[in-house]
Amino acid sequence: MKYRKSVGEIAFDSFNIVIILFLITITLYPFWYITVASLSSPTVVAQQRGIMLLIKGLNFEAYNAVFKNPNIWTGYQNTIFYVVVGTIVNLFMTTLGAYGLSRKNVYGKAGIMKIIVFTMFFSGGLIPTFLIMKSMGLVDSRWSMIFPSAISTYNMIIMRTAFQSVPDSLEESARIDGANDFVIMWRIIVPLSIPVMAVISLFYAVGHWNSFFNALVYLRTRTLFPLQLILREILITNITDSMMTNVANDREPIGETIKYATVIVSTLPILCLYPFLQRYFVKGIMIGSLKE
Amino acid sequence: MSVSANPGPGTFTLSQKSGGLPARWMREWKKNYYIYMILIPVVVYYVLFHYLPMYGVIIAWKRFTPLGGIWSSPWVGWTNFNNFFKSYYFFRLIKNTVLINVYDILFSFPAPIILALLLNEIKDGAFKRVSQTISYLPHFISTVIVCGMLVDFLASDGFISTVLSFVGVTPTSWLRVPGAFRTIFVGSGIWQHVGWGSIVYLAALTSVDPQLYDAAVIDGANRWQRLLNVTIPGIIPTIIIMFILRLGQMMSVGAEKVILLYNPTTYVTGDVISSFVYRRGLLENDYSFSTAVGLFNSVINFSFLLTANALSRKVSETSLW
Amino acid sequence: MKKKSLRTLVSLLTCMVMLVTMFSACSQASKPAENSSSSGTQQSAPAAGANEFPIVKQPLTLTLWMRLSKSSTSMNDLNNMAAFQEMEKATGIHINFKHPPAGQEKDQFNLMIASGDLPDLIWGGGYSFPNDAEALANKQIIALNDLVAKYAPNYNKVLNDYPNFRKTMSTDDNNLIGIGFCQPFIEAGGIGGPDFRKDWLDKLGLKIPTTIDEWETVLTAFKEKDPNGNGKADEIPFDSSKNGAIMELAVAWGVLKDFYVEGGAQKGQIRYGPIQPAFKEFIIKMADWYKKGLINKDYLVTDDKLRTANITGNKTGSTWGNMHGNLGDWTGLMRNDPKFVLWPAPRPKLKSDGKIYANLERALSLSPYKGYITTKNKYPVESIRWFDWGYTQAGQMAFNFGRENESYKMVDGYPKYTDLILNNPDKLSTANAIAKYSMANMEFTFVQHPAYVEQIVGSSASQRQALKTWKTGWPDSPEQNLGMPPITLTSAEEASDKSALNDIKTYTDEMLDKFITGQEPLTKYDDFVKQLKNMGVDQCIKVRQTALERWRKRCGVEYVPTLVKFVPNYKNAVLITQKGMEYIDPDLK
Repeated sequence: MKYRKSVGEIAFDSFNIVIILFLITITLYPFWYITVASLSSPTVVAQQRGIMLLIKGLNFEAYNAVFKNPNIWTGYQNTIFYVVVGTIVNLFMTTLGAYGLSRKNVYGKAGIMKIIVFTMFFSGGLIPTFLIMKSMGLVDSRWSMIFPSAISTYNMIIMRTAFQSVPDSLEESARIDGANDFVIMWRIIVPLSIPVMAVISLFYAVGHWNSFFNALVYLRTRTLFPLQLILREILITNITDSMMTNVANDREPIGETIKYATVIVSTLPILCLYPFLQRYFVKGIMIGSLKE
Repeated sequence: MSVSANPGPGTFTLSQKSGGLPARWMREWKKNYYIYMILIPVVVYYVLFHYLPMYGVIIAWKRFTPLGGIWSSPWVGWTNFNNFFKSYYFFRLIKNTVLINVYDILFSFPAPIILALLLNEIKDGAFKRVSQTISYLPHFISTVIVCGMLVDFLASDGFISTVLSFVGVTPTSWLRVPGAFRTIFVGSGIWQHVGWGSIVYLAALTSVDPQLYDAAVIDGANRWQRLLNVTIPGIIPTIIIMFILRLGQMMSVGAEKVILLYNPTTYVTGDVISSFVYRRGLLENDYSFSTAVGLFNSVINFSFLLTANALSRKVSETSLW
Repeated sequence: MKKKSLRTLVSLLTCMVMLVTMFSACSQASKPAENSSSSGTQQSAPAAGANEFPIVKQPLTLTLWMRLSKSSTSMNDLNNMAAFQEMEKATGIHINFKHPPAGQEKDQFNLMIASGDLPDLIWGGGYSFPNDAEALANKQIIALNDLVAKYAPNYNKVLNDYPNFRKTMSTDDNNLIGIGFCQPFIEAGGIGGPDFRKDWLDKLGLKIPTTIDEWETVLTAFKEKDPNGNGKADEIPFDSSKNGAIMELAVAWGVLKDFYVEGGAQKGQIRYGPIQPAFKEFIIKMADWYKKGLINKDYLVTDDKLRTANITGNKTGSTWGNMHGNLGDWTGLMRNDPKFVLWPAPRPKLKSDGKIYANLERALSLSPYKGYITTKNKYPVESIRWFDWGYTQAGQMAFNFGRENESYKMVDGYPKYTDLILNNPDKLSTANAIAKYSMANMEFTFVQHPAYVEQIVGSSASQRQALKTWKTGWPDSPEQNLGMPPITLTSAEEASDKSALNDIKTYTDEMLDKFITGQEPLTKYDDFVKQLKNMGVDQCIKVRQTALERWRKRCGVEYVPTLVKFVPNYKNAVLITQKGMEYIDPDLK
């Protein structure tokens, strides 16, 4: 639908672009700084006081320290497993819950909703949860990273809100045609909510990628440790290790720059996920493609 | 579950015809058991991983040590709670926590929405996609690093002081100024999370029916009117739900960031409940105390949520239940 | 059809819920599970003759919980460390290590205890039971008195040589429960002291200050006379990371910022610094220095990273730091600067004929950490003998230096670290290299060897001098040590103490910084003291005094200054830089 833009609209568009450009600059800067700092000499970085645009004293020590650690590759592998399997389980469970709670024909829905939201606020705490997990035999197993976090109530509520906004008429006509809830969920609601499904997958995937607390608590065998845990260890060991700068090797204490290197190492892969999901954020992908 | 004169779907009335509650359940189940089957795994999950461990909350009324375990640690009644309520700093902590949340709601809550709307107005294309991607980059940077950068920027010879000196502000070490703490805390939060926060709203925007836009254009609406009458109403349900959930966080401010940014001179505005409890935890692993305080926080948070939800029910069609 | 499926579903669900509830109920009601984690055949008495090694004839595996620490950069499992390999060879016992992830030791430790999931052995590197006596009473660890007397002669000798060490390894009622890391050379326990830019002092014609007034003269000169020669008045005469370094200066007035002992551990009284009159004088002086710009105006937002940057940026005139991590580090970082010399100064005193005080807690405990044998251990005799190996001659060598001819060589009867350590081909730092082969810079059940201290400290002139200078006035007079011995509070005492303490500490921190920076006028100091008393600080002092009395009664031993008068010999040390050798006392060359 073409039409001419008024002067006001052109002004607004330009203004908009300026604002977005400003935003990009200030949000890009921290990442730029981290990348540059991770490749620079630690002493220089400490003196730059937070402003650094170019690499000074090209130095791969930080990355060396990170990748030399024997655990880092198992860390990556484990995290990929947790992300993929975890997100699939998440999506499955969350969709079930979001669908069930979005339908009007559920008796006791308000009660169930309250019970679920209640858990966002009240929890038994670390130790009882640990004991329960232990009695289920899940401690020190991969599933301890998947099951306890199977549903994020927050995400489920977002998905439910999206499911609720699908027009009732679609559902009603499907029921008239004899479809049951499984069919409605699978063939109608989900396809029409692709953008939000994509967003929730992203949230869960990122959540798994960044998580380390569950691993900290439940995992004992090092070969099961996810990436974040390994990185955290590298970080802590190197920061506390400033006891002897080994002058003979000309090695500087890399506590500072290793912080930045770990950020890069841990975020670059997940950043690549977003472009994949972005295609689902295209307007009007659902309505209109399904005729009544 | 509410009692009302005109029962709508999802509610039930106490005055039922025959059988009472179990019979009603049987009827509902028979009518559409598919949907209940769908919900069963979800309910099992919550029971197993959230409700079963809830007995642990009793340590708030005990003096818990790992040696005694949850069952054998001695009871101390309301001591843990009293220790918190009677603290010299009780009111200050509550005030700081709530105020930071208020600032946050006033400024951090609308920011992602505005960003989403602005981005939405840009034509689809490379610029839009790249901007989106860049805007959420800071979200991935850990708090430790962001605060490290902030400390550098806010020093008296730091970047922000230099910029401000151009408009005649004397260079100060801003993290020493109690009055600036909340601004720094909330402002940096926006910087870090506005991009990521806008994703939800962007997704919601895509589900607004394009036909509505076309109809509005036909009716002669300009950009601004389209925004007001089509776009915003289209994402109002999302906004409301997010807002209700946000109100359920009024007593929660994350300890990590506060601790990285504050120092004793800014305790007066910056010390919040979680940072105070954390310092106490440093003296000893006081699970009982932190559970008691956490319980107190949760009760208040939950009340906020209930109130917000009830209000929302009255005023709009959107609510959690 | 529907009715049946409904019933089966309901019954399935009920079964599931019942099962899970049963499981969780069982795991709490019963004591820790009975399965032993040790494998191997049962041994009721030591195998190869009493007190000879190897300990067992048949393979025996024990589980040991301890942190990886510095070794984690090169290994996953301490079984890869030369020292432990030597230990296994000698004792015949294999260890199944349980390493918690770094930074999370405390939480995992607590979980372990709370869930009753105890291993055979625990090495509490900083994450020990909140109260050993209660752990004993709760049947989680065992008392070792008889075991040590009968089966651990080497450890017993160490305990007898250093009565304070035995005190630290026991509970208030003299149950020996720990096998610990013994550091008889207080110097090795990471002491600290003031550091000054010696080259600046030389340039301005000043000597190292010893009294507070001399300090003020020197700091003023740093501020006004542009010693770093760049034409800008950017010098920081005295730097401090938060108020850490500033508070160290309180020793000149004979007080500490926190709880301390006045009059020596054996006879003295517990005090809380801020309410002492001398402390008020100290704060008044600090506020004065701050106003004059002698203390870094931004100290409140300075952290260690920034403090290091200030040093390497040639801005800092003086500060207070520890030996290895600060002085050694900074010296190493600036080794290529032609002028930079950071030099240790003695702890300041108020008047030139006054006393020097210090906070040397470690001198009283001689040990930061201990190991335990848990009640789940089915082989206590073998276990105590396993621990005992660390105190034998072979054990000492292995734990301090690693493997002979690999990480160290005996040169004229002196264990000298090889290039594998000092100049590691994989570019590991010395600390990490040591951690690959031995436990010398971590802690375990052995006695720290003087040769380790000599080679590490001996690597730079400033550290050698620091070792000597920071010892001044000690150990001649125990009353000059303000440090607290390792007293323990019971759970009940602690419970009431904790909440008062959090308020007190918050208030103290806040107000002290406000006084120093001038935000709060010094006339309000007495109100501050009054408020502290209102908050119950006297009760906290009383509780600690009682605990102190209990500590004194432990082991029925009179306090013996057990410090070895350590006279280091640096002949075999390898210097990383020649800087400072010209200033050093001749006996340190």
